[in-house]
Amino acid sequence: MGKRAKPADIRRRLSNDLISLSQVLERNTSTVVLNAEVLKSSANQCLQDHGNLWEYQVAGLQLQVNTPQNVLPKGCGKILTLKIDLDLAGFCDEALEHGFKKLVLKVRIENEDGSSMCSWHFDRHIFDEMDESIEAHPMYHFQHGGHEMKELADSLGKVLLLPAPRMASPPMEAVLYIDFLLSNFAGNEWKSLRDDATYTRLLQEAQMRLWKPYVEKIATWWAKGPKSNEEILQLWPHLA
Amino acid sequence: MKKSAMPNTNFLCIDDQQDSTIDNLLTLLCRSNKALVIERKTPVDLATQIKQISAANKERENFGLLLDLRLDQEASDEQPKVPYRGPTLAQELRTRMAEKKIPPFPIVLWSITEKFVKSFDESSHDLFDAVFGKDDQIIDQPSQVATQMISLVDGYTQIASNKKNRLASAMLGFGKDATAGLHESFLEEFKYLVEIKAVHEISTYLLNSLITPSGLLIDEPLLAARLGVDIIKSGASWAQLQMQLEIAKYTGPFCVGWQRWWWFTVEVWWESLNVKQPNLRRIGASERIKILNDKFGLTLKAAIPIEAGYSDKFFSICVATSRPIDPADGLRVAELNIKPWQDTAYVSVHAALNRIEKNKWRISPLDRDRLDRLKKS
Repeated sequence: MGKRAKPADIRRRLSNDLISLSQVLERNTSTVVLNAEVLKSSANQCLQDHGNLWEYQVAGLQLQVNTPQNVLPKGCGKILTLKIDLDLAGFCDEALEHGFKKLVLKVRIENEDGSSMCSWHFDRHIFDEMDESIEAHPMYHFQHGGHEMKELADSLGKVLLLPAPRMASPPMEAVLYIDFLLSNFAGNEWKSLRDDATYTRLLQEAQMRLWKPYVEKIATWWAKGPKSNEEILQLWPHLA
Repeated sequence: MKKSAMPNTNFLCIDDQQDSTIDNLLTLLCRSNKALVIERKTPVDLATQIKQISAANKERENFGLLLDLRLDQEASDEQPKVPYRGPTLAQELRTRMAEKKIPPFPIVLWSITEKFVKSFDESSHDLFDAVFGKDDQIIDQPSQVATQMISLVDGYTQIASNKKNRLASAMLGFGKDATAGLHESFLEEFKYLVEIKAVHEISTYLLNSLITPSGLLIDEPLLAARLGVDIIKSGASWAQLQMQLEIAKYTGPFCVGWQRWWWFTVEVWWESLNVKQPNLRRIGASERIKILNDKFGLTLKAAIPIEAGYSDKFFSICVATSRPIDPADGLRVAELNIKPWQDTAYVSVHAALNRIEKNKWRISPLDRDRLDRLKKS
């Protein structure tokens, strides 16, 4: 095992990655990503000394995309705006996957005149003893709606808005989440970004940090010998 | 020679205009700042002119040159019309400075604004440390112009003394730990310039790449906008808040003439105010000033959006109206040669639709479709 990196070095590395991400997005996707420079503030936050922690937020990153086909209500317009807000904090001395202290990723999707809206929520479930829910709460999960939708509480028409289902997903941070949203809403830009060496590097490093341990942990479910069943079930409660 | 506490700054003004308007403008400048002394001359042939300027520079401490754009329009009794213009003379002087044949000093250009439009070649921008309109800045803000002229001369001295010891980061007031992130990409370029370029090139670089564009540094209106403050309505509270922000103040060359704050230091300061401090970008002006008023016992007043219905999560200044805007209510403006640390400039949708100050902005191609859709709606 290599020498353990100092917290300051880890913060600096994450910070530099956020600056690189803002520059890649400005260079390649400036018709879709309207204000990549908010990531510069995130990079600045990331540098601040929080002892053993790293911490950053992405505040109001905006994407402008073409409305996909088959969207309801009909006539909601040709353009959708995605407003992305992330809150992330983690421990510098552990693998990030186990080391998140806070992980809340939100996206608010609106049509251009603001008359229709929906939102998605991705977070890390906090398991505590008070938690008495018996429904499945995968540690990292996607959920339609969330607090953002409360403002529409009185104008939902016949739509029923539920906290379930919560869908398990590998953990994500800024690079992976933006990539995920681009892949769903801006296919052309997503494809062309993958030709950018810096972007690919940022993705590979983040996936190595977050996805590899996640997938490996889950795969041990079928390994022979002793394993930490409870930890695996936290990630994927449906395994039997 | 006895040194006084505030030595004068001595400018030589070369202008071909014969009537008293020039004298009146110079008097206006010198009256607004007693430390500024300006001697006025009419242009002579180029070789003699360079000698004359060079001699004037040797005779005086704290020297600067104020040049008219068109030197070639009026003849005097002793001197026929000269065939060259301000930028030609400036180019000759800059070349000699680079060759170290004359010591570096600031060159300021002034003209009637209309003449700038007609005959100022933007490519000669780097020759001048500052450009002022005789019929706008000089008349409207003589005190600010005089302070900037003095600050230019001081800044040259500061750059020259730091350059000798190659103290690039110290020159800008950077500590060791403040050189991370975006500052790093700027410092990298700046250190290189300090090592190999002449003082006047370092000066124009600082002014054009660091001080004038917002990004690493921001000016007072933008600082106020991002903190949600209406400067005029807030009165003394705004000055009191600025005292809290001394740590973020830019102290490098030209800092007296161009007051600036290191933006990323302001962000860190903001986050340090309370244990659970909300992200500045996520709250509106009235929430921002409430936090500041509660914390420091001030009576700041919130800035108000250009138009009802616009967001007050201000983070930029509309280039047309000079009013604070949330970039979400703006369209990106086309700009040339943006540095990585520079912020995007925005014009408010309101100003774009009403074509306010149309000569000041051009919509970036990235946002033209959006403007077209807005026009139709």
